[in-house]
Amino acid sequence: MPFWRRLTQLFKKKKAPKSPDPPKSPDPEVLLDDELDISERENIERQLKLTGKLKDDLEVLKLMAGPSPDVVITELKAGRSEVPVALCRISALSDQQLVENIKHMLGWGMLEAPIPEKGAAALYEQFRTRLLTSSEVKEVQTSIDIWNALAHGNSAVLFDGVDKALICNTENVPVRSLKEPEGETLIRGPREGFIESLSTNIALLRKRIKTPNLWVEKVTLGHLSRTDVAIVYIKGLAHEELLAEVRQRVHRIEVDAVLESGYIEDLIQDQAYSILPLVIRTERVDRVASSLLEGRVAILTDNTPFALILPITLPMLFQAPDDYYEKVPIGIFFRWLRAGAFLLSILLPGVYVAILTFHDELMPAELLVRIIANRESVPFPVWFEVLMMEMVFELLREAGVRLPRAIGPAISIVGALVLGEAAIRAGLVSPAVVIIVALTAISSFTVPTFSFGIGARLYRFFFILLGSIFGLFGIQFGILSLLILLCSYRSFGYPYFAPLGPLIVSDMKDTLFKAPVWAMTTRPKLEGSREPERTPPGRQPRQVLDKEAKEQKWDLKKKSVKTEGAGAPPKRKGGRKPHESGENQ
Amino acid sequence: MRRFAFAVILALLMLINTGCWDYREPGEIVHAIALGFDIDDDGQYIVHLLFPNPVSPATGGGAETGGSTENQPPTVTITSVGQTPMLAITNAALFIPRNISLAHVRLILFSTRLAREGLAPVIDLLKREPEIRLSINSVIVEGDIKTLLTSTTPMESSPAMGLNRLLNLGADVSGALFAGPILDEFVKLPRPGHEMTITRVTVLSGAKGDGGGEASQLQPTAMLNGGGAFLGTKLMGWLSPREAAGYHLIQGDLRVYFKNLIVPGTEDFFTVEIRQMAGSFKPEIKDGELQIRISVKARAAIHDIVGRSMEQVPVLLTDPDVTTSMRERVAEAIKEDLVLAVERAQELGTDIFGFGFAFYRKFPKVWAELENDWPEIFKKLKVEYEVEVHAIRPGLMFTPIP
Repeated sequence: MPFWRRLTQLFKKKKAPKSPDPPKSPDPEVLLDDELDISERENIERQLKLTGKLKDDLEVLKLMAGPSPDVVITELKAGRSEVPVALCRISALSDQQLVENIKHMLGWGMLEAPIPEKGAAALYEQFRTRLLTSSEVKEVQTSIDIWNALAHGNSAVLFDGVDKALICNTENVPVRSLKEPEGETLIRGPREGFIESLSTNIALLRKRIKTPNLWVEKVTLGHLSRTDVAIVYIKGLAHEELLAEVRQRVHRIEVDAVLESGYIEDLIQDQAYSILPLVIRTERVDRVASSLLEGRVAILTDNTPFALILPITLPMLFQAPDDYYEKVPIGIFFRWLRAGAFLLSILLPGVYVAILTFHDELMPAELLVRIIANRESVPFPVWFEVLMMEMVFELLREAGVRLPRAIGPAISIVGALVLGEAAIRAGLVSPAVVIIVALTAISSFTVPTFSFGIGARLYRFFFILLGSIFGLFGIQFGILSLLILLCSYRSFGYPYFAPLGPLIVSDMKDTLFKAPVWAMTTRPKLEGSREPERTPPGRQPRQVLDKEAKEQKWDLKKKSVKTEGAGAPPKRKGGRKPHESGENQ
Repeated sequence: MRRFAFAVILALLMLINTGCWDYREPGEIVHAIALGFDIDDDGQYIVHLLFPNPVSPATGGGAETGGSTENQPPTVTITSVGQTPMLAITNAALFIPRNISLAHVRLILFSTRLAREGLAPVIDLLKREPEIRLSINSVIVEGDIKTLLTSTTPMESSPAMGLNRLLNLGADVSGALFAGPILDEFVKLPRPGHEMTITRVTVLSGAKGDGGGEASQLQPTAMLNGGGAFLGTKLMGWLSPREAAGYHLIQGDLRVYFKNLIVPGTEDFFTVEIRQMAGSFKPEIKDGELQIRISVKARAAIHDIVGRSMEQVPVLLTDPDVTTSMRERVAEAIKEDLVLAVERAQELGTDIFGFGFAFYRKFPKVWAELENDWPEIFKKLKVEYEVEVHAIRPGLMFTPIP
């Protein structure tokens, strides 16, 4: 046995005791043992089945949850035969009104109802099929399933003598109201964003994409947190290979808890240590919807407003939802502006250092004289000065995120006045460097995807070092290596640099440019090739010159064309039902 | 693994290929913006280097820190002497506390004396030195270079910058010989039958040296004054501004040019702006005789008409006969300038127009016979002129003020 393997023997992982095939449920009294570790407890809990004896079953539930006060169990007597029943719920997660309804039915409803037969099973059946006024009813047979239902805010009804429990939907999980996502604001476009509730988030998507083919696959991740995660896609549009890949990666996840979609991102992305994001994290519903319509997949996680979009390409990170809602030339202009700002934000400080210290002949003489004169009193080398100021800015930014809202103005005064103005006055930094830092800071915030902006910021430091050691040659080397890196990345097997990396000319209409909606005839070639056509070509708006088309009568009540003319009226999507019209986000 | 090793090797190659030893802090360098070359009686080269003063408040340095830099002038001129032009520059390092960079030299000044003795050593330096650009201007200074460089120029922070701007912008309006990149002149040296010209600048009495005096009394320090015609690297003589204009007309690179002429048949003056000029020349051999045909096409715009009576101008521009005769008068005036320039160059015996070079390119076989005594042939070369003025633009005044 090699040495290292012997070494690992010393630190053997504690493994859950392998359960013998569970034909019998173990004795629930075991749970009283304080020596049980969490994995052992879970293992036992998983095997406990309902016995049919109400007392025992309730005992199991009490043993599982321990002394937790929010687990409320109400014991009642149902019907004339006074069958003992119990209603379990977690008080803060369930709707009081609905619970009371069920209670009423159990107590009074059962008394008044005509009862054909005696016996608990019949009573149970009667209650389930006739009396229960819950919108969603399920039957479960194990304690752990009851508990899972309770944790979602449902109530469980147990009958003595029946080894099944009825799960009634009484969900009232506290959530905040819909608000505009603060991290991704825009001028024109819908204001609502995702919230911390998975069901609400799915509903928001359904509101936008009403086809039944919007499929949601639910997975529960984290054996302690039991977080619901939904894989959302449009069936028939997303590639099955992609879906298989996503499913495989998601089902591979084995963690104790998923508290945020960042956990999932980390567990499923292609490159473990990539600085740039390989999936988009967004709070915007419209952004997710538009990605779904391109044949992509979204992963929504309960308890976080951030959804994941995958696969993505690098140019998608430069696309803001505004681009699609604004006029075309404006959208194109801003998209170019953002791309330029991105380059500026990673390259400018490095290029400044490189030019000033290696290639001063590249700078116009007047500018150079001024810069030299301005930094005459600066006691630091150029690279250190730039690095220092960039660090100061990062400090300010980080402090701005962390600090309590109430002392926000204080930090801005300290940041802007003390550090900026006083540092120049004291001759510690030159004004040119302050301008450069400010410029890079502003440009790095123009990137619509925040996680992308952060990544770019790290590259900036890399470029400052390259520029200060190797000059422009180093900058060029850095750009080349960055390009190679980007071209080598894959997002769920799809090339990251896509319409540029492998050149896809037909996708340029939504990459460097942004075509008007009527010209966006096809979906992205790689992701949406199952159903490439988005809108039939030649649908640009034009004046109706055709007399026949002009005289066509519109039946406004039926919303369809009454007389089928020779050519469909060009200004409207004649006869197409709204859900078929391939709305473009 | 192999790929990783390859990447590491590439990254290490960067260390030896880029030369991080080229790292120079901007504070350690001082950039000369003008270089003046002169020669003294012992045959030693004198170099005047003009630097912007980094600690002067005028350039933006030291303003916030206060201290002792308040009285520093905006520019500093350092003069140093050496056996060769390069030695003269390097000797300056003995008393300048920073590294001298020549990458931002914008203007080269030659003294008249040096130009008459020959610029060869300096041109040799300028073409070899990797830092100096060849796209900068050069002038021959009539007067003292040091006085010019140390005096205060109105409207400019340094005399060299002022002169540079004068060369680039002012010259093409005045019609004086204007500067092009020094490379444009230097390429003529190895050519057969083509000689250099360099702009001549005359130092005026406004140039006082040593900072100049009160701001309210500032006077222009230098003026453009035609150009020098060279034979090889030696200055042979001057072209007057008018002859310089003729020279540029032939070269076809004059943009705007003003003339004051008499309206034919009257005693009235009119000032005309000649523009959109297209000048060219063609070498020809006619009946075994060499000749050059110069053709110039231009348009003209009237700027003013000054009658003798001072009360009203009698010229009627609606009359086609009048405009035709005026056009002819302008063409005649242009031709006069061409003739002046050509005759002056023939008198000096330097083929600044490149007539010989044109023959060399068009008739290479004939040139082989001409080559040795081309200066003599050039002096007697027959030149024909064709001048055409296309249109005359009257402005908004067709009829005289009543």
